[in-house]
Amino acid sequence: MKRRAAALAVAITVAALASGAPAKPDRQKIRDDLALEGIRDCRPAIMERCWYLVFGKGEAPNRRLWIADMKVRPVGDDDNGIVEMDVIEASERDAPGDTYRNEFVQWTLQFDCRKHRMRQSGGYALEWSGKIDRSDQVGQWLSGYQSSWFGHAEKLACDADVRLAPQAQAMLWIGDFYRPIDLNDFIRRHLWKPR
Amino acid sequence: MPGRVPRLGSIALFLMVGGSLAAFPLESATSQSSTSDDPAFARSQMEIGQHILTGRPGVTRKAMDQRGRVKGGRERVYTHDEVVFLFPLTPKVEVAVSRFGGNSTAIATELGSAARFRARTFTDDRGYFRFRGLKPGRYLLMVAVPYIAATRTKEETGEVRTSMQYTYDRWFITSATAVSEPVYRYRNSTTALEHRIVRIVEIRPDRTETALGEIE
Repeated sequence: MKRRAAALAVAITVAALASGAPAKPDRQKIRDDLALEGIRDCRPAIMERCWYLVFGKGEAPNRRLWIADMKVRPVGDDDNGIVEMDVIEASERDAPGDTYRNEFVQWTLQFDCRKHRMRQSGGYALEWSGKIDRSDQVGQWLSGYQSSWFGHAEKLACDADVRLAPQAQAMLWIGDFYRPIDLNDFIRRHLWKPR
Repeated sequence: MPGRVPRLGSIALFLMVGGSLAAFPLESATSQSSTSDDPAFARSQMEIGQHILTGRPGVTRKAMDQRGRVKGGRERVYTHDEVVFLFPLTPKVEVAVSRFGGNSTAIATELGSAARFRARTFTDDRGYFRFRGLKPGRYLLMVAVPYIAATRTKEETGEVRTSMQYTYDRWFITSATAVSEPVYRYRNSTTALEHRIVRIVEIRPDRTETALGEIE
């Protein structure tokens, strides 16, 4: 009788815990956040964004930088291996003769980490004129981009080891700016400060 | 620039500490409030827009010379590389502001989701800040202006001065009392202080740029 009562108590406790336990995607997010808490700079539990400089090219005054938000978002079923990430592409200046008209672009990219392919799922561009050009269309899946900046962004989006130690991949912590335009202004002010 | 406070911060420091530059305890904004929060509104309010907000936070103090001595008159002090926050004015923030007035520390504990979806910029070399890409609406601006002020400190010397107090009737002394009091000295010095500015600002849809000018 005592054994039956004990078993019943355990069953009730388990049921109570199960009913209050987070859903599966939430548990995965909590696990991810806990794993990343070991990183000194990015503290995902309290930061909405964690920006890392992942790629750059050009020389002053025509430099261009790509900064990725390490806080990736699972897309759909969390078992499908598809994650979404924001990447900022900032241009130092409106170079004469350059057809690239944007001060910065916020790319929203989806990476299929298992099939090594990506597509654009949204974003906007701030043109040098001040006009905002939005894009809400979901593009086609693309592959073969690994040697470009997309490849560096994919590493951060898909590889948990890279997220644990981004600095080992020469990725530089920039900050937790919520608005990409504040990040863009920060880069202009402190990295591209006119001498 | 007269009255400008030298700051020790550098670019490297900004990169190293990143978001932890906050002068306000925003990350600990976890206390409960009876006013419901509105994260969806906060997130939406901070989406990219086409409006600009500018201003120059400062504080007025007694004018000082290079050695920290008061020289008469008053002067404005500005700060550079200081972080400036702009929060979406959610109902929760609005209640906090009406409840705590200009108490930035108390307000910072009641920001709720607004603390997560905040805009952030820095003052420039002349003390100006500029937020770009804002949507029309109401926001809460918070900025701290550190400055050095001349202060006069009252100190005990450790000595005691004793005097006699007498009570008279018409002709004679009727009582005598010994009164002792500590001897003080006054010392002029400078103190590092921080002036915190809390202000609700409105970005109007009919104006591309909102200039707050000098704010205190």
